[in-house]
Parts: sequence; C-alpha cells; structure tokens
Amino acid sequence: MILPFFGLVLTTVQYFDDHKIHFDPNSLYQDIAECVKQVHVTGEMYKSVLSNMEKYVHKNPGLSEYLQRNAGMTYMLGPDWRELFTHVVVQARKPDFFQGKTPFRLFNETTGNLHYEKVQELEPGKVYAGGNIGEFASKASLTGKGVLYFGDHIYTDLADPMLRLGWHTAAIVPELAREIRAQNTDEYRENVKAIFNPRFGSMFRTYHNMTFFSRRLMRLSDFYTSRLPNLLKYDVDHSFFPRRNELWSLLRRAQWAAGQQKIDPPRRRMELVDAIEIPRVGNVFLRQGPRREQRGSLILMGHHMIFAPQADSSNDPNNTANKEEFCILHRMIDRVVSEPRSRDPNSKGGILTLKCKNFMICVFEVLELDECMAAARTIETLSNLNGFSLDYPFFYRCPFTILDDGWRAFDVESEFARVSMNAPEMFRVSEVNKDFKVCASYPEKVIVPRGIGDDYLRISATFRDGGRFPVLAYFHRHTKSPIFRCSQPLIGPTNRRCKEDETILNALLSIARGIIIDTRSKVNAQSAKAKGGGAETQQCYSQWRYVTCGTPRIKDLHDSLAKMVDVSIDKSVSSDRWLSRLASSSWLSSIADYLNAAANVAQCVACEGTQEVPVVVHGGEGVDSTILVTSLAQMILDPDARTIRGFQSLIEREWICGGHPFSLRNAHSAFAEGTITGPYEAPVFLAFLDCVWQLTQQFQHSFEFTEGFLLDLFEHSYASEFGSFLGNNEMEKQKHQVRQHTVSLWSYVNNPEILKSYVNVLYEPNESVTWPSVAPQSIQVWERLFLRWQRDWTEVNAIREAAVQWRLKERQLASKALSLRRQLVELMKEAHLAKTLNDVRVAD
Amino acid sequence: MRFEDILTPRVDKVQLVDRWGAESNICGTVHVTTSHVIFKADEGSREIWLANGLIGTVERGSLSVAGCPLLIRCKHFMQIHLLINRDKVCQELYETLVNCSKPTNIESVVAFENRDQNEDARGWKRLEWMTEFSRQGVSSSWMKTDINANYKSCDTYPEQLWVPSTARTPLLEGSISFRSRGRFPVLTYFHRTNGAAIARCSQPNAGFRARCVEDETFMTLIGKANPHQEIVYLIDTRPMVNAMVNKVQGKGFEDERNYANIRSYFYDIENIHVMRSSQIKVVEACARAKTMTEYLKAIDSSGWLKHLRIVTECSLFIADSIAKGISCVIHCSDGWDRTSQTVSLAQLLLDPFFRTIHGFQVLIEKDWLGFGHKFDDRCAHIGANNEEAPKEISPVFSQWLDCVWQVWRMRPRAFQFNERFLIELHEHAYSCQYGTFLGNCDSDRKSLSLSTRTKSLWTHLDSRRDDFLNPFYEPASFGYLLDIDIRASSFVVWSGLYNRFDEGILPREDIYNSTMATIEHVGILEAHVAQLRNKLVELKQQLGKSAPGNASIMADSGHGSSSGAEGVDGIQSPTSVSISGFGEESGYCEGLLQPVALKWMSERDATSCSSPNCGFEFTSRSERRMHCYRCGKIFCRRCVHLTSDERERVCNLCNNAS
Repeated sequence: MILPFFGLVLTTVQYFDDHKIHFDPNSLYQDIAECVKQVHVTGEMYKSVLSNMEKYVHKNPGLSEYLQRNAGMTYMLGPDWRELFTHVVVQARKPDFFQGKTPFRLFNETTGNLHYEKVQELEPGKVYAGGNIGEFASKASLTGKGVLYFGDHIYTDLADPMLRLGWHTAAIVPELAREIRAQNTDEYRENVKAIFNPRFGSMFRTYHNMTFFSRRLMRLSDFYTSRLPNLLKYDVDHSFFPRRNELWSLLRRAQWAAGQQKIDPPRRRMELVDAIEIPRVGNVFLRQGPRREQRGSLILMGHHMIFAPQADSSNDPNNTANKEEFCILHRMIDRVVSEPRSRDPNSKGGILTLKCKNFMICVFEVLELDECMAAARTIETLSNLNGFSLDYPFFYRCPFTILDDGWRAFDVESEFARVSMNAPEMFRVSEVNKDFKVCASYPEKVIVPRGIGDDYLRISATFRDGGRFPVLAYFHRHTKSPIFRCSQPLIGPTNRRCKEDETILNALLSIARGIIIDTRSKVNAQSAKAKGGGAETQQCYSQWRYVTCGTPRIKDLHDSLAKMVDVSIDKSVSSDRWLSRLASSSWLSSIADYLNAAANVAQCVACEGTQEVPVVVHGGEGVDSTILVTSLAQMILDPDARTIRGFQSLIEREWICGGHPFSLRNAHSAFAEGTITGPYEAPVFLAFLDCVWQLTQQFQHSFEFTEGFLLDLFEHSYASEFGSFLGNNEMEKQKHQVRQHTVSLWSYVNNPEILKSYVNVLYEPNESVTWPSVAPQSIQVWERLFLRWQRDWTEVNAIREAAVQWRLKERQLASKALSLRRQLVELMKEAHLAKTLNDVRVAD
Repeated sequence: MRFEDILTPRVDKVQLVDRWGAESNICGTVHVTTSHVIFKADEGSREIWLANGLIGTVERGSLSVAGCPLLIRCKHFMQIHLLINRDKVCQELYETLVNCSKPTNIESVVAFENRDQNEDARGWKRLEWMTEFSRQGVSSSWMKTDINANYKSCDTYPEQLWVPSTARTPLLEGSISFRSRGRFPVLTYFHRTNGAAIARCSQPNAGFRARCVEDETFMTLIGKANPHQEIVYLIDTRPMVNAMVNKVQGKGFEDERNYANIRSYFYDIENIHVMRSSQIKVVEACARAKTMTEYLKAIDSSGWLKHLRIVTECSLFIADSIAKGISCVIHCSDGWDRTSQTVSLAQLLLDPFFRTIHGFQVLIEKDWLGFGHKFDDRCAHIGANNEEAPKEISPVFSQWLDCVWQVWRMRPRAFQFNERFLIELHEHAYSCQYGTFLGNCDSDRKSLSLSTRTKSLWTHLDSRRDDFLNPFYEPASFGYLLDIDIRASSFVVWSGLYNRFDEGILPREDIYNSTMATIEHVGILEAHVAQLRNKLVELKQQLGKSAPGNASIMADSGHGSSSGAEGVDGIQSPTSVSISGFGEESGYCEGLLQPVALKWMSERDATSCSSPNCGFEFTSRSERRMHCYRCGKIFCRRCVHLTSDERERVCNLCNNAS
C-alpha cells in the first residue's frame, strides 16, 4: 500500500521538522522502508491488529453475499467464512508470491504446523501456505481470460497476473469513494482549483489528458471499483466494455447537463455517458456533409451526435433547409479519422472525418486538436460497442402511436395459411425448434413437408451445417412448385450420408425430378468437403439434379463493396480510371451473379415442364447467398412480394426470422479496413436491395415501393432506432427481449403518414412473373446509392414528381368520369320511365 | 437503287435466328425492293423492315447442316441473322444486299424515289440564315457578307456568311487564303445578353513560320466586335500533338505571339479515325459481351465514354466562356467534324431555343448541314469508289447525338424532345430515305436540287411530332446548362441506341412513354368529363329539375341512386362498376356520347398490336405505342387513324363499330 507508506513518511518528516531535527531525506526514507518491512515480516503488526480488531479491520458488508452469488456456490451462507472460498492460501508473502518459486505447503489446522510433503494438488477446503502464482494457476487450472483477479495494489498485485498469466484484473481502490465524494463537493472544486490551477483536481484527468494514476490503472486493470459489493448492482452476465485509453469508471460521474437531450437517460445508460470524453465541441466548421459548409457545434450523446449550425444573423428564409441541425447515430459511423489540420506542429486545429455506413462522409474542422481527438475517441468507442444490448432501439421512445404492430404483423401461421390455401396437403408447421434446441438460427416454428416427423428433422439438422434442415421458403401456386432452403450437407471427407435427410427431400417430389441449386461455385462446393461440408451426391440424391450457380463469397462481396464505394466517392476520378475501377470492384458483376442465380431458381420453379418441380437452394451456411437467392426469386415470381406489405413480410420472414446474421454482417460497412473488420462483415442484405433495385429499374410500374424505401431499409439495416435488424437470429432477439423492448421498423413504416412517402404512385399491379434481364448491358450502377452524396437529385425527383402528378390526375379524372356516367345512367332511366326517351336521344 | 441490281427480289424459306438463342428460329420470306429489305414470317406476324441505306455490312458464313448463315449488320445497330437453305441462293441474296447497301451514285438512293408530289416545302425551309441570326439578336457589329455568293470563295460554306462589320473584303480574302480550304472564321452564334460570339473556322496554313496579317487583323476585329472584352479564346479541339503534326504539313495552329488578342486552348478530342474504331468497339461490346467484367472492360477499352466526356468538356468550356462574355473561335483541322460537335453542343448548353424540337433542327441545319459536315462521306451513303472512302467514314454525328443524349439525361426537363427523337435522327442520318442528310455540303445539296427532288426529314418528323415530345419539359425553368456534372461517372452507355433492338435488355417499363400516354389520356378525360357534365345539365333541364340538380352535378357529389330508379333492376349497380376493366364502356348511355376509355392498356403488356388481323410485333422499345381513344387498347401506327374531325384517334374496330 503506497498511500499509508507515504503517510508515514510525511508524518515522520513533519515530526522531524516540528522538532527541528536535521536529517538526510535519503537515509530517513531507507529507515522507514526497513521499519515497515520489519513490522510486516515479524508479525508485530498482525499482533497489534488482532489485539484491536475493532479499530483496524472494517467489516465488509455485502462481500459474502457477492462471493456467494458470483461463485454460484450451492452452500448456504454459514458462519465459517472459508466456505465461501474454494482455495485458501495464507502467508503468501506477496510480492514473492508473484515472482518467486516458493512451493505450497499444506497447513495443518489442528497442529498449526506446516506439512513437509510436496503438495501435488490443491484440494478445496484445505489451507495452504506460501506458494507462487504460477503454480497456483496451473494447479487450480485458472488460466487465460476466464479469470478475473481482484487486487488492491496496482503494481504488486495486478501487474503480474495480468502480464504473466493473462488474467483479467480488477483494481479495488477503496480511496476512490472518499476521494470522489470530496471532489464532487463545490467547496473542493472552487477552493482547491483556485489554490493550484484550474486544471488541477481530478484523480483521473488533467484537462483532456489522463493522469499518471489513471494511465497506470487503465494499463494494468480491466476495471476498478472502490469496493467489491458495488458489483451487486449488475447482472451476473453483465458485459463491461473496456477500451484502451478510456476513462472507464463504474462510478457514476456527475451527469452532464444535457439541455438539448431529447431522450431521458434510462437504465444502463451510464456506461455510455462515461465514454463521452467531451460532450460538446464548440465552433467547428462543417467542411463536407449533408448540409452546406458552415460553422456550428458538435454535441456528442450516448447514441448519436448532433451538428447544430450556428445561429445566423442573416435570417435567409431560403436557407432554412440548409440550416437545420442534423443527427447521426453513432452506429451509423463506420470509421473515424482525426488528424492535425496541417503538418505544422504549431497549428492547433484538427480535422475530424466521419465515414458513415451509408457512404456519407462528414468532415469537420475543429479548433483544438485535443478536442478533436477526444471527440474521435468518443465516437469510435460508441460506434463500436460489442453486442447490442446498449443499442439505441432499447432506449428509443416511440413518438407515434403504433397502429399496426410490426412485431406481430408477420408470423409463420399466417404465412402457412397463405400457402396451405393453395396446397392443402403438402406442408405443416413444425415446432421442433422450440427453445431453439435444434437450430440456433431458425425461428421456433418452421414450415416443413407434411409427411415428415420431428424426429427426422432433428436428425437431418445434425447433417446440415448449423442445423439448418430444409424448410419452406416459397410456394409458387401456379405450378405448385415449392422452394426450400437449407444449409450445406455435412458430407465431409468421409462421404457421410443421412437417410433421414434424403427422405425429407424426397418427400417433396411427386412426378418430376427436383433441382438442388447450390449458390456456391463448383470449386468452392468441392473444397468445402475437406472442411466437413460439401454438396449432395448423385448416388444418395438420385432423384435430384444438382446445379451450381457461383455467387461471390461473402468476403469477396465485402471487398468489392469497399472498392465500389472507394471509386464512387472519389471526386477526381477521371474517365480513364472510372470504368476500369468499376470493373475491378466487381460489385456489378456480383449483382449480376445474384440476379442470374435468382432467375435460374425462378425459371426452375415457373417454367421447367408443367409438373411441379421442387427446388432446394443452399450455399454454405445457408444464411447469406441462400437467403438472398430465395428471396430474390420470390421478388421475380410473386406479385405479392412486390407490394410494400409483401416486401416487408418477405424481409421479416426470409431475412430476419430466416436467420441472416445482421449484427455480424452489418457491424461495419465499406470504409472499415484492416483490423476493424473481421471475417463476418459482408453487405449481403445491401446486395439484395441492389438486386431489387435493378428489378425496379427494369419494371418501373410493377413495384409498389419507391427507391427511397430501399435506401431507408439499407440505412436501417446498419443503424436504426428500430429493433428489427438487431441480433443475428430469433434466438438472440428473444434472449435480449428485442420484441418486448424495441419498436419494430414495420410499425413505423406502416404508419399511414409514413407509408404514403414510400408508395410508388406509378405502381400497377403486375400479376405475371417479372423476368429480369441479367445481361451486363442491363445492370446499372445504383447511382442514388453510390453517388447519393456526390450528385444533385433535384432533377430526378422533379421528374418522378411530375409523373406522379399526372398519374394522380388521370385517376382522379377517370373516377370523376365514372361517377358522372352513373349519374347519367340514372337520369336516363328516369327519363325512360317518364317515357321521354325519344326526346332525350340526341346525336352526339 | 436500280431495279436491275436486284438479283433475287424474293427468297423463301429463310430462317430468322434469335441471336440470344432464347427463341426458336422463325421461318419466313425475304423480299428485296428498291427501298427496303423486308423479312416476313410465314406464320405469325413478325415483320422486319429495313431501309436499304441502313444496311451496313453483310457477312456470309460457311454452309452447314442448318443452312448457310447470313449476317446483316445495320447502321442503326440492328443485327439480322438469317439461315438460308441453299448455298447458291444465299450467295445471290448476299450480292443483292451488298448492291443495295452500296449505291454507286448518290442520286440512286431511295430518297430520290420517296418524294410525293404534294410535299409541302416547309421542311426544306427549316433554316433561314437571316431569320436565325435576327432571332439570336445579332448586333450591328456583325454583318452579312456576300463574299461566298455562288460558293466562289469557299465551296463548303453556305452562301450567306456573317463577319464583323468592320471587316472589308480584301481583309476577308486574305483570311480566306490563309485558312485551310478557305474556311475562314465566321459567326455561328451570337450571345445577345453580353455580345460575345462563337465563330468557327478551319486550321490556318501557318506551318512553322507563315503569317498572314489579314488573318491576324481579322481576329482582332472579331475581338472588337464584342463590346465588353477584346480577348478572344481560340480553341483548338485537337490534341496538341496532332496540331504539331499538322504544322509539318504547312498547317497547324495560330502562334499566340502573332495575334494580339488571343488565348489558345487545346482540347484532346481525337480524330475521326480514333472515333471510328472506338465506336466499332463499343458497339461490339454492347452486342457481344456476356459477363459483367468483360462488358465493362470492353467499354473501357473502347474509350467511347472518355471521348464523349472530352467533347462535352470542351463544349462546356466554350459555353462557359461565352456566358462570361468572352468570344470564342473554334477550329480543328478542317473545321467540320470536331468543330461542329463542340460548337453546336455549346449552343445547346447556352440557348434554350436549341433545346426545342424546332430549334434542334435549326441547330443541325446550321452547324452541321450549313457549315459542311460531310454526311455523304462520314455516313457512307454511297459505296466505296476508291480506297480513301472507308477512311472517311466516322460516327462524328452519332457521337454528337450521344453527347446530346448524355446532357439530356442529366437535365431531362430542359429539353422539349425525348430520347426517341435522337434515336430517330440517328437512324435517318444513315437511312437515305430523306434528302436532308444527303450531300457533303450546302453547294452539293443545291446542285442535287434536293429540295425539289426529295422529301425532307423535318417534314416527316413534323407529322409525328407527338412521338417526340418530352412529358417532363419545363420551358421556363432552364437557362444555361453550365452546371452539368462532367465527371466520368456521369457518362453511361446509351443502351437505348446501341441495344435498341434487343428487347430483353432494355427496361420493360419506361416512365417517359407511360407519362406521355398519361398526359394524352388526361386531355381526353378532361374533354370527356366536360362533355358528360353538359349532357347531364341538358338531361336535367329536360326532366325539369334544372336549378338544384345543376349545382349538385357541378359539385360532383356522388349523386345518390335514390332518384327513383330503384324499380329498374340489374342495369347498373355501383358495386358492379370498376374502373379496372375494359368491358364496362358499353354499359352507359349508348348512342348518347362517343365511348371513351377510362382505363388505358398498360404499355407493359404491349408487345404487339391489339388488332386481331394485324398482330404486328413492335420491333423495339422505342417504337411508339398508340392507344385507341375509345377502347384504350394499344395498336401499331397502321391500325389507328385520326377521325375526320382530327379530335380522336381510333382503331379500325372501334371505327367500324360506330
């Protein structure tokens, strides 16, 4: 303990000074250190402590309670404190315990002696003496990240476990409670700061920098608290989100005054507040962004940041649109870059660049580099939180009344009702996946072939990657052909087979052969075999035709999006490079591949012969390109899917319930490079939206929704105030109670006021199959997506608006003419009854 | 095209091959006439009409089991694959088609047979130089000169020319002698608001040392003709290297040191040979490419979009300078290819008049036809007489139309015409059906007396004006188009032109066509509603309940069925009426009013004419679909006609029914 030691030094020096005794500070220090060591080693201190327990040892209420719960022990709380601990080690002689090689010795409680036998293993309930940490770790098998080590001395306690054993460490800093209480008093703030300097005071920071103390604390401990029972306030499985260089405190700091805060700080919000190093950056200049260049200030909040333009003295009414503040969800930010304004070390300013997941780039010029860095760190932390339990949807208060709850709007039962109307005897709803026991990424209810029992499904699940056994995705009522989807069969290098799986597939067949469409390329499907996957063999699935249509791997898709965005935001891109870079990004060719695959599926379902042809689609894991292809095929085949409601249902059913891992795939977007992104990010859903957009371009009157709807879906899938795209599957949704605590995107979209803006007025229901052209000449760059922030869209909007106005006028006139005609007919009848028809008949 | 050249006027049992392999072959007959090559299917209604002038190249493949393949590549990018059973027949057809495609004399093209006697001459008077320049508001600092009367000074210029009014004849003669082919700087556009002007010329015979005092003075006078700014931007559209090469041949460019008031700019617009091979590549890419990457790489390597961008960039620079009040003189080598492109595009950006259908025609008449773009040579109207001829072919005009289309695409509301207009112009620049694009220059056309012997394209276009209207045109909203985005990403391949005949590739539903139809329909409905109202008032008056009833009709309250008609059953009940069907039209007041379709057939389903005895299949997306006003169905042009009072367009069926 360093503080008591220095207390002693100080007291001694004070005593010498008071009594005018001359001394050599160096010698004095050595003497005191020797004394302190001596009282510890000889046990004199313990004797005096034992003689006056009341004075020296404070009871720690709550500790036993904490330990009991945390360790999950089954004991009842007994009088014996030792029952709370698995291992008891005494006389460890820290710091030797950490550095030395002292062996453990068994302590005989009856005799009070130490055994001389070599301790082979540490038995619970026994008391040991001496020992060293290395031996302790290996004998008690406490290794790696699973261990949390509590200690009260940063250097001697925490450093070794952390550095040598890789344990998590937690610092107990009892002084904190008093210190912080003192620091938060007005007296302290005003007086002490006045005595020293305005930046003095906090234990943790001097102005925007960390103190030496907090730096050490951060370096060597994962978290800290004043006393252990503080943890009682948290769930057992609560996650703390540590970050290097962050001021991470479990102690609630004074909540900053948030005048403009629109949302009340609810539960669990304090961690976010703690991450905010600087709540407001004043006087920044918006160099680039969704508004014109202007001054303003940046306000950082738990879930979003707001740019508030400076009040302008010249109140130009034309500029109001440009003067509005704008708000960006932290989750929307893909990458944060802060850099000095110039290389000149004397210049103070910084440039803060925010690259968003919707490909918008905001550039702010900040006057102070320190502020710029602090803001960048804050945003980076808040935009990269692990998990989603702290995400905005959980804190979002719905400002509108929910008329049509999106969480309940689409369910398996109603979908099944739709299907079974056309195919009464073919399918059934199975609850085999209750509590997600069979497949983690499927919903609890799935539609399966009627003749197949749940036991077969369970066995098939063991044979399919991730347990994704074949389930119904779509039923084409004209040809009575179903589309099933699943994941790859786990054939493996040993050529496993699964009779039950074969039975399930064969149950779909009636007359014709079925078709299995693998979304991977042939090579990839083959090479998956070595890793335990593979593809259906002709021997085992003899009644099925196996077809591959190579769609890109998700990793490649991620890369190609990055390249695509890179070239489309490049302002200087010249003619020579644009096309070649477009080609090398291969985004368009990926889109063409997906469309091609979906068109193939649709063709098998709708055209192949007259009999029903079941189609089974799978890729690798069956959660990415599989879902993309089956849902896109439905867009082509199903007139219902082209309505707004049908499209929502499709996304909810296939993507959200179907287990597309949104949290993983959409954690980052095009700007994340290198270490920020992992192997899981991929814009699969975006690719789907792009494909749908290609369809809408080819059939401008066949889709009930507008381009704007697709763009908004894209943004919501990355960052949203709604819970629809949270989590990777239904299981996670249920675990975090997403449906209970958040608002569904569909509740918002289906609000009549909002829905209006998404409806394509030019829509004319089109019952036929919309066969898309997949020729390269027909695939276009989705300009509104990729060049959205580069181009002026007034022209496009105006055209659209004019077309809409004409169409509305046409409808209005037609219905007016109709009502007039009815009146005319009525009058004619009347005239006829009055036998005056002959007089009325007038040649035109 | 003489009748003797047609070896085989008719070939039976020819198979038409779908080049995408999606459909089975269609068996039919090929007829060759002096004006068209026609394929007619034996069964079904498939017909292809191909003007002889549009035949580009004909290729014969070797005989196989299926037959002897014959590939006709057309100048409007149609490709016709035929299979002919017998080798000999194929050879004959091949020779016939080659003859058709390459008339030896310009006077043997179709246009000279296409003239009906009662042609009104308005089409040939599209451009009156005097009228056009007074429309532009040319100030007194410019004047008309007769120096080129009878084309004696410069045979490729028009007879009437405008030059600075301070320039005297000797000065002009000096400049004429110093310019290549005598194409000295003359006015083509005067910007009324600030007095700046665009003048065009050819390169000077400068070589390395030669000077011409008259030419230098003349340039000063052009500068002085601008009241605000004497500096003249001299824009050489060629790459610097090309200009240097020309210097060696005694031509080249002006030396800035010799001219007191010029600033020189070079723009890297490549020559006609580069453009020719570039277009061949882009057409090939559009026709052949199978994969996305292949396609993009092929488009990239063709460089076509890059060329479009540079032409547009140069035009934008000219337009920008003019808007700033600085006069520009533009030349390339001869001043009839790149100069025509940039000068006319710049005017299009500057002057809203040129963005109307009429104005666009004037622009073409002036800067392309008037100042001597060599349409005969560039579009290969006549067959190759010598080895030089193929080198003269170049899609300069197509390229310019492509540039216009790119600008049109960026600012569609600024143009009165639509995409179809540009495509039609492109086709007829090659088709030789009309006299407009015949001849290499003004004097050529005069000596061929085209205006009396052939039909003008403009007359033809006038008669179909409805087809070319842009539904989104906002005449008042756009002045200069100087804020267009000329980044590379703004330029895209014009698949509407290059893939015009590939049904499957183009979007199935098009907002321009559907909105145009909607607007037309709205007009009819308005008239119909007015008519109905009148009839209602009339009827009510006869029934003796005029005053109150009148008000209620005008207010359009959905007039209840309470008016004593309950006794009559089953004639019309509100629930049985929907506006979605075609059938309900006959239900109301027959004989009282002309039937009017409340709902028009969607263009989505219209792949062929609705007339049962026609069934004509539309050959391209850009082909106009015509609705019958009475039944609302879609017909081809041949199956609908205007009624005698010209107020209605009806199909034959509805016409017979009435």
